[in-house]
Amino acid sequence: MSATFAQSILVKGILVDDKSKQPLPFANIQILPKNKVYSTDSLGKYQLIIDPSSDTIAFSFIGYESKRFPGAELLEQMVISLKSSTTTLDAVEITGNRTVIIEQFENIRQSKQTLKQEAIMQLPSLGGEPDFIKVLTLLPGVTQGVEGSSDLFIRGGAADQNLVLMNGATVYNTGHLFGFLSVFNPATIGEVNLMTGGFPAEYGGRLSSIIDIRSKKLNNDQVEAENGIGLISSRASIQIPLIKDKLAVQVAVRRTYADQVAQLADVDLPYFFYDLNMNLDWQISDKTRIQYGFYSGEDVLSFSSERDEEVVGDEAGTEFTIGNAINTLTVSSEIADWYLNTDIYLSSFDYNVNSFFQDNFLKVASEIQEVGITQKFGRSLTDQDQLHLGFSSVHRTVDPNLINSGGQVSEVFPDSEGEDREMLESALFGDWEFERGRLKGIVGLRMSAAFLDNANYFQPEPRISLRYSLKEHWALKASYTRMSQYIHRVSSSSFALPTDIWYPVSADIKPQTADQFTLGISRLIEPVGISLSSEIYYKQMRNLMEFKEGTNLILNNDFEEALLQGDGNSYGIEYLARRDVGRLKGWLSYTLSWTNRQFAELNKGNTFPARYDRRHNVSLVSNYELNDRWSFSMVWEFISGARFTPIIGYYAVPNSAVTGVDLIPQYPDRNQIKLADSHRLDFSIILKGRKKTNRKWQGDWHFSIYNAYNRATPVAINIEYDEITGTYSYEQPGILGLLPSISYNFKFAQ
Amino acid sequence: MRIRFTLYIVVSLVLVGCLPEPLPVKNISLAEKTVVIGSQNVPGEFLAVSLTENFNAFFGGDESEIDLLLQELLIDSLEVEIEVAGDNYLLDNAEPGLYLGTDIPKITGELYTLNFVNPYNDYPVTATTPLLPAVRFDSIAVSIQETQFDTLVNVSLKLTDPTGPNWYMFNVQLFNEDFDKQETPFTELLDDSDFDSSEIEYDFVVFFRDYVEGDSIFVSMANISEDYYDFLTLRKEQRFLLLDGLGEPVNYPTNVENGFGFFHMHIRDVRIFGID
Repeated sequence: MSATFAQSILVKGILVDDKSKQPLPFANIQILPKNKVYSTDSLGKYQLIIDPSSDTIAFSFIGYESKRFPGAELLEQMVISLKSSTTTLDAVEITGNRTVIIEQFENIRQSKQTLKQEAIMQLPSLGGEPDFIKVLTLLPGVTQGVEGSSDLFIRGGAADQNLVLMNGATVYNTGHLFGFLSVFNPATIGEVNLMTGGFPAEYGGRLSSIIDIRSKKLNNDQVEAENGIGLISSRASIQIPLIKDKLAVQVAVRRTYADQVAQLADVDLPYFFYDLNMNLDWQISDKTRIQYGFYSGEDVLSFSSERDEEVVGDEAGTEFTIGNAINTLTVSSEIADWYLNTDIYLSSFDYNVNSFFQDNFLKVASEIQEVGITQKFGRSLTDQDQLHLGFSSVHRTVDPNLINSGGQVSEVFPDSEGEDREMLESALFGDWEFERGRLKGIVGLRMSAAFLDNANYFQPEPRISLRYSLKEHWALKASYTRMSQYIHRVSSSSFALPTDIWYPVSADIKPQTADQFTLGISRLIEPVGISLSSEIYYKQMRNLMEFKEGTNLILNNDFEEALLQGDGNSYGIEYLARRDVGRLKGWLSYTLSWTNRQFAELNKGNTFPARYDRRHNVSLVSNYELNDRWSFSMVWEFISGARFTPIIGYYAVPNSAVTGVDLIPQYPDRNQIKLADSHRLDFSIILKGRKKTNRKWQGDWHFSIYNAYNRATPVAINIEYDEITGTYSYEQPGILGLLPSISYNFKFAQ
Repeated sequence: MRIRFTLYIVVSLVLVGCLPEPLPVKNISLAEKTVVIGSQNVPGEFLAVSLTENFNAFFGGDESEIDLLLQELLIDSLEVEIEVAGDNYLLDNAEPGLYLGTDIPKITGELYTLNFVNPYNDYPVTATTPLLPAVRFDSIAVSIQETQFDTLVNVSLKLTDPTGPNWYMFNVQLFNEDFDKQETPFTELLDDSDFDSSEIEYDFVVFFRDYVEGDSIFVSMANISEDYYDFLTLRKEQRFLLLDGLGEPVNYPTNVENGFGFFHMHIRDVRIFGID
């Protein structure tokens, strides 16, 4: 397949494993005389402009034997296959790490980071359970909330300003174990792309980031099992080719078993979680592929106790369940010169709380459902211009707190059916990607809209990203994007709870919008495989959400009365040095940032720092492969303290009955105090099983230490009384100290 | 058995033995000293206010120490005036921290303004409030309902709402047979937006309290100002917070300029019920 352009020819093809025929994503391609470097895309496809008379093209991929083709020969081949250079089991260890930094350097958009399954599996993890979401917090511009929370605060945005997509479907609850672990089973994930700026026009609906998680490409040639036994949970996954080279299915399950283990010691641990994934991958033809994904997961907490054995019925208890269910269907195809990609999904999130205390009961239920479609298509207009177009539409039903109560507690929390809110959020989008000499760019526009019973909103969202090659291996990048958000999470800003409720815009609640500008420089030091980048950003946000002072959000259905909208800004500079080749891999990132808020009704109308205005954020992530069997990893992170508004005084006034005094707290300016800095060191040692020719299974032992020097990572703020001085003080406890763990992961392939 | 015990010990050691030391929160500056106005209810006196100062947030101690602290907060020897209907009246510093107005006229609907100089910054302190028309119970009935686990108080009342917007405060305070105050008062708030200028019947339940024979229940009501109503509403919203210091900040409203507290004048109707 070719198109003529002067002396050059455009060639297209796909790079695959010669045995399994699996595409090799982000493999390295070099046009040797010109020393130009390219890579295959996430589906292993490539497009190159070559001079067939003089160019030689080299294809290489870690773990595979490289191949070179004279240009003329490449014209004859659409499918290039590479042969694995190691043992049988290596066929399932597809990495492609080296090209991540090259792909990132070549990418027009700077504010994009890619994490792959293989890199995540090497890093230290809590309880030996690898976690994509936790690793995201180690990237520039990303700050986590309190320890254990799965909330991310990105470039000064709020936790609800991040759109988490799993195969195109919105994921509302990303955390198991109250946020300590993410809901994404590492055995099913191929890669995670984090975008914090320069957003493609196809993405929208949140102000601060897009976290696009894609299932891994299934092996339709051989049976593969991938299992892990950890301290917190265990997981099992199996991939089976149903039709060789065509259709494969993966089933993966995870469950905690601490509750079962605790029973052996007669200890009642009233909590467990589980999740189930099923993926189907059908390569109908070279040009058509269908993927179906199913996810269901739930956290269950259930306990009860007798208060007074002598009083019949004097008991109290709670059962709490929270879960997601997601169905996705992705169809990718090529028709003539056009590519087409369709994502259809159904996503739901709900929680239920059933509590009783003596003759009182309180039942609370909340649910959000989404059904959505995204259609993308595009083609190359010339060898220097590409067009990407599409539309998306999401129908969303939000059913906030349904409250059913009985007994005295119904005086405090009366029955309430809540009010279903339905909305349709749609968008038309397009990107024009061009290359003119040293300048590459993407100019895009997203026209988004929200349709509700009592209001309609339309927002134009222009997007521009530019990349200018200064000289070999140096590039300047810049971007401008506008984003709009039509749904918000109603949450106390002190503590995000799983029971926080998502709430759509209305006639009175306007969409949040943000304009973000970025300017950065990148350098690729190819001989040592290191990329260096630095980026400054400025983000202006409007119609942000806060609540009137003193609003009680617990089981409150009347949010609109309490909502305030105001403005905010954030700015900072991010540095990243990343190496993905050789024995030593990893990255060092540093972010210096500020983020502020201004609401007419808060803090006397004066600007105040946001709660997660953390000035410095440093992450050092490294993995050293000593030999084929032993490797060592470590993660060290430092985060400046978050902001807090303490009580600085009290005053006494007669209570309303004038029978005593009521102590009223007195506060300083909002978020005036910086809390303690936190830093933590984790490390792990991995011992891989011996590799033997024709051996079909391999096991790895992971020994991890979480929080090696046992420093608290603040999870809350407590008020403590010192009996010696007779005074109170604030302090921040952490939950997890030094925590050793051991896990065993093993794979099987046939 | 040995396995269970060993497992229990191992899990306990891992989870508890390595709990990190909490991190201190430093550099918290304390509040500047200022005056606090409290509107008191002194039998036989039309107008009584207390003047105190605010105090350090980190003061600790038991109830007796707090009582001692409150004694130390009282402010004496200030020249405190009330301005009403164009005339000024000097209040009498009759007891420590307590200022009484003995000859001030009672003019319903008139604005009363409190004036004095803040001893901590030498700027004037002012607070203004209206004297609202008295509204009394047309009738009130209190009944005790025993449940399997505790007792409830059902309050049923009738009142006649005057023309115009009004805001009502009802307090239920329990005293034991020695006349010691038990717990904090239960406060019920009501505005007349749904029943202006009419006779209304209103019921409410005081829950999660335990009552025994010999206790006395004081039920009071008053027609209060809108700003004091808003203050009490906000205060009531926070009643389920275990500790004030862990929530988001709430800057409670005040009608005092250059100070804190509330200056309000309302006339209470109090009824006492004994539990037999």
